[in-house]
Amino acid sequence: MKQPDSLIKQITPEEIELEKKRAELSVLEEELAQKELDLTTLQVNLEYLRQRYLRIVGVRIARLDGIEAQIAEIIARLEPKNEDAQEEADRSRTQAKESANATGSITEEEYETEPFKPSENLKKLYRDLAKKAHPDLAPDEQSRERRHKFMQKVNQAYAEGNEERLRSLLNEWESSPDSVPGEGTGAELIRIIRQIANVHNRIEAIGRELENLKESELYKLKLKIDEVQGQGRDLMSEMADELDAQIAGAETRRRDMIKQVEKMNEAER
Amino acid sequence: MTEVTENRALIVRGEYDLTVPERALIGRGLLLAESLGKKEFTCPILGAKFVLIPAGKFMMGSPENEHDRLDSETLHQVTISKSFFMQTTPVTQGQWQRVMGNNPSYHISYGCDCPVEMVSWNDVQDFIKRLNRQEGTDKYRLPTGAEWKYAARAGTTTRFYLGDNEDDLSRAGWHKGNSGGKTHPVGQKIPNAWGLYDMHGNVWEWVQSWYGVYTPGPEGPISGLKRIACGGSIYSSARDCRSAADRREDPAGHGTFLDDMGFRLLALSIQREIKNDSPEYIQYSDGLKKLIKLGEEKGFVTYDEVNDLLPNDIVTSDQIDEIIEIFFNKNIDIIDTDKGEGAR
Repeated sequence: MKQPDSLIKQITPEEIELEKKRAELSVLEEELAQKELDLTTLQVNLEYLRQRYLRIVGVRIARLDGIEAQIAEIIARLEPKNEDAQEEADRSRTQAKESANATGSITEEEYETEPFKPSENLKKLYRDLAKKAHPDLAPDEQSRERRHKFMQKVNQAYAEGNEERLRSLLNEWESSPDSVPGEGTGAELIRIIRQIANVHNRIEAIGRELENLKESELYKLKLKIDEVQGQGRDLMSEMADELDAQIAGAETRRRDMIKQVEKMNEAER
Repeated sequence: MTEVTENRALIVRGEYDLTVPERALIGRGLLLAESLGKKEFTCPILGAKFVLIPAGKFMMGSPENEHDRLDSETLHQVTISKSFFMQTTPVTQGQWQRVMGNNPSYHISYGCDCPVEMVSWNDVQDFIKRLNRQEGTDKYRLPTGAEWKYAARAGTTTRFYLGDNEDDLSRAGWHKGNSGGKTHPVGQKIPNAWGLYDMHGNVWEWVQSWYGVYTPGPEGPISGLKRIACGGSIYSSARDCRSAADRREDPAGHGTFLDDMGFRLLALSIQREIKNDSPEYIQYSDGLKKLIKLGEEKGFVTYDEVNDLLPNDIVTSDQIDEIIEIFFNKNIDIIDTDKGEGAR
């Protein structure tokens, strides 16, 4: 039996189709990995911004709201029959509570975290891992579950900018890849077609999610900060300065008002 | 950094969600950022341009060697602690018409781009109230005297913002020497370094500040109840058009012809603050309430009644100013006892 004959014999139409589908999937894997990288990078960036914003600006707004609530309270007490004053006091109190709630346990003095600037290496490692271990590329449900958990670790390591951890995750994955049970060409073809469909869906879903993120206030704030940074300004610290001035003004008003109340009480006595 | 992943859903199939209060906080930050970034804006109702005047310090008054200087112009440093927006021109007749539906101007035939005049300080307050309401804001008010003069000088220390001579004045504005006795469309001369036109001449511009101090007493302190206007007008000599000069008039416009009295607006860069700047807390003392009630019933109160009923603890001239402003806003006249009795 001559070699070429046996080769020609082995290439069935299914196998030709399978090769095509493998090539298609491989292109899609690249795209998927890149999209996952974009999404995760944006999420990490926004999370960094959220924390920084709450720490620098949020706590100041909360403090201002707290003082304003106290002022409204004093006015409401001075004027018990004035419904507007009562409403304003209620509104201010709620506002102050919500702002305090949003800033939660964050204190201004908290250490400054570094902005997230992933290196090319880090991004490449992430893409490699996403291509290999993405849940939508799982051959079966059991593997999908396992991959899902694995990708969470990958995301975390990426968010931390931990190259070493990503490398060890890559090793870990390569030493225990999914065991694909021996399957015929037909079965493999079906599996790959399903994978292609899954990946398509996921790429679309990422697109939607990116769109959503880009419509968020947080993202708009990020754009604003980036734009202003281009002009050599630091928007966040400008906001902090402005709020500090407003806080100082509110403090003065509150103090004056307390003095006023004390004087009135004295006069009544 | 571990906090990131503990708190947040950074998973492949995760949505990035913020809590509602967090979103509200970020929304407010965006508004704040918006106002910080802007160097100018246009008031949609007036179609008037406003430019950002940076916070800073300046010397108010005039140097002792300034030509035509008045003794009252003692030089002293004033700090403008917050930036604000200033209208680049006086309010025009057309702009007044849009808000108030009328045009009270004397120089009406020279076109709607001429500054509005024949408006008293009280009329202006009415205009501002309506404008704020129409735009759904509380950011517009008159500048204080210090804010106006700071903005007019734009860092200069000369008599006029273009220099010391009458020629410099003529390049900047319309005064007795070049106006022909009529007002001119705003924005035709050379603006100052901050982009403000007509800060010298054309019309005197009312500002928020009172002149003098109210002194309760039998003599009647009417002379202390004047508002300041700045900048000089088409009828003014160079002396009265100087950056340091001003004029004091009755806020209701009594005793003067207002055909060269106009104004321009200030807009706060942060809207929130003005709401709490109002002296609400003063309104709640019992004596004042009685006084207001009395005034609302009669349409006026006498100085004796003011002296009798005003709370003892209200002592500073600022506080008195604020109370008097409350009366003006309620259209309650404060009159001399004699006249009050005569009216009855």
